[in-house]
Amino acid sequence: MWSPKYCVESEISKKDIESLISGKIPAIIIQNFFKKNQCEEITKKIGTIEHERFQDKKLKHIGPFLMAYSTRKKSYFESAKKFQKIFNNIFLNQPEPSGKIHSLFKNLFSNYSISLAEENKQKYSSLIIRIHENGKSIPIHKDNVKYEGTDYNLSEIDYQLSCVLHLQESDDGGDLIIYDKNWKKEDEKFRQIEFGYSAKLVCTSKFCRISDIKRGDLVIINPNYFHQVTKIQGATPRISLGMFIGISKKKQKIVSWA
Amino acid sequence: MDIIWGNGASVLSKDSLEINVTHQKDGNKAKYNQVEKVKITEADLPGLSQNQSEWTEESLKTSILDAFLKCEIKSRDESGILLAKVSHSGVGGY
Repeated sequence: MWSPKYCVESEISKKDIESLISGKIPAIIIQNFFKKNQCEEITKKIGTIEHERFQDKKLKHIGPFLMAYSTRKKSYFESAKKFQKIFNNIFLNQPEPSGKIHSLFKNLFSNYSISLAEENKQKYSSLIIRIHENGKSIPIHKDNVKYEGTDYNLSEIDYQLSCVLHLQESDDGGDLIIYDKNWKKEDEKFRQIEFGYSAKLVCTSKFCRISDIKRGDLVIINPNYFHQVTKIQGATPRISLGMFIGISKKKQKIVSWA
Repeated sequence: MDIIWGNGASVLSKDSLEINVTHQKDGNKAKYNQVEKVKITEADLPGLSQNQSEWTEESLKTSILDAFLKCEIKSRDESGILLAKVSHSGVGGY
């Protein structure tokens, strides 16, 4: 069985992260990483923010996502700066999620420095909030800044992890599926025009379907393994907050970005 | 404007390549082969300088080999080479 590790914050170990990097486990789910009432407060605040429309109006995002700016560095850093003020407002009376995730990793990698990624004194975006409404899904894809973000210094990291804090569950759907298939450059043959990859690429791969993620849970995956989110159903949107963690072994440095 | 998509197969010079065509826009006016030679008139490719005079065969190789590319075609020259804007396709993230 290729199964995720469910735990609370105090139970996660460095070995779990290593298992995720090597593909021994598909995901780590830290339950109640944020309290339910904190998520509700954040969700309420998000409801008051004017959302940036993204990707031909199919999806709602707050904050820039580096991969959407792969050749537009200047715009990315400008947008990151602009949205940091909005995030500061959203998390005014709440723990700042990226700070809490930094603390988690600091406890696991005590010899490493950890910070928001910077380049030429410009800060990367700290996070992205995604609001996925009825009918939306996320196609099969991978995230790999070493391949797709070569214009950024960040692409020199050794390992990339994805951290997604779930703020609100949808009524139905919105399951996370992770395939036991690590992206290789040859897989680019299976790319779809808009985004993602053909299902043919993973049709023989074993997979793990996670359908019990609750608000407040933090899901950590190795995003170089193909993954997707099934169609969201119902009137309640799925709201999540995402960021990446980059680990540089030689420099003993961990950085985050979105 | 006609558009084709596919994976970078080889580099022919510091500003031209061969592409294995996998997708074509519905409504393209011209017909395209499974393999096309493309001269880059404009590029939006990660890792490739904005300044075309700085391109090398090596930097083009790093950027396009196997990568999924979008070619917005301006014309085809007498030798059959397509002149096109070339960019990485579909890396926007969700």
